[in-house]
Amino acid sequence: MNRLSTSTILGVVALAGMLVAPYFALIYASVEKEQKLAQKIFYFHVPSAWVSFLGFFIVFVASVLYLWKKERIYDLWASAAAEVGVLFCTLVLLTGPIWAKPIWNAWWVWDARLTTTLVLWLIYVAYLMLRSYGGDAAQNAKFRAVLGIVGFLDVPLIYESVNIWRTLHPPQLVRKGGLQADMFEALMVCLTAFTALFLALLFQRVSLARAEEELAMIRADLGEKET
Amino acid sequence: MDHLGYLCAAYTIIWVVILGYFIGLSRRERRIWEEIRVVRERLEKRA
Repeated sequence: MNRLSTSTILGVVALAGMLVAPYFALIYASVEKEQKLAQKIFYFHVPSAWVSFLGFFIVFVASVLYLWKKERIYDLWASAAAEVGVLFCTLVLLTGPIWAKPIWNAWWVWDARLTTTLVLWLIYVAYLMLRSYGGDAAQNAKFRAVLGIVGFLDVPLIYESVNIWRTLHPPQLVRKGGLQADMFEALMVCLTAFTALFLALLFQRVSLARAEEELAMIRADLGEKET
Repeated sequence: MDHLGYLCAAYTIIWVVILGYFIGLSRRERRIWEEIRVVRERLEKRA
């Protein structure tokens, strides 16, 4: 199976998933008694967080491989995963306050989970800014690989923050079996749809990065022929 | 319908951000392939 067909299949699955997910989140899952409709933000907020962690995990693994093997392809994957990871982390930081406002009566509180998530977002935004900074390409890739590895240490901290510190943020309901069956099923459908969407965007971003590399190589070739 | 406005706002933001990123990626990819085609033609002419 070539890369194009993988990308196409993922795109179709992601599209189908994103069309089905709202039905499960908004209609299939029952309305929570205390938080009412605001709780339904959960079905896209939590999957966004999960896939952003997946993205940063890919950055971590690809960065380790890059430092070890020094092959450019790992840097491409790490950069692409960082960009898509930041996209979903942005969604977490945007939908979180919208959910928080009616429940906590505040858009934002400097709670451990919220703060560590913001720090994670800032780390990977810095990673992307470093990428566009330019300079020596190999040195830049090495710096980013180190940042990508160190930055990932924040992910387990975010996950455990609700257990380590006293926070306003709800604990891990899924792990503790605190979700009703219909809510759990809706969450799983949304999580599958978001994972497929994440992978489709990641493959498309890698394909773009490869095309940019090809263009740079052809230009370099053209430059050599002209001189 | 308690908190319907917040729910609509959250879902709208999700769809707008994802669609915006997807459209941006597609445009960038189309532009790059067009550039590759033009540069390749130049290379072939020189060859």
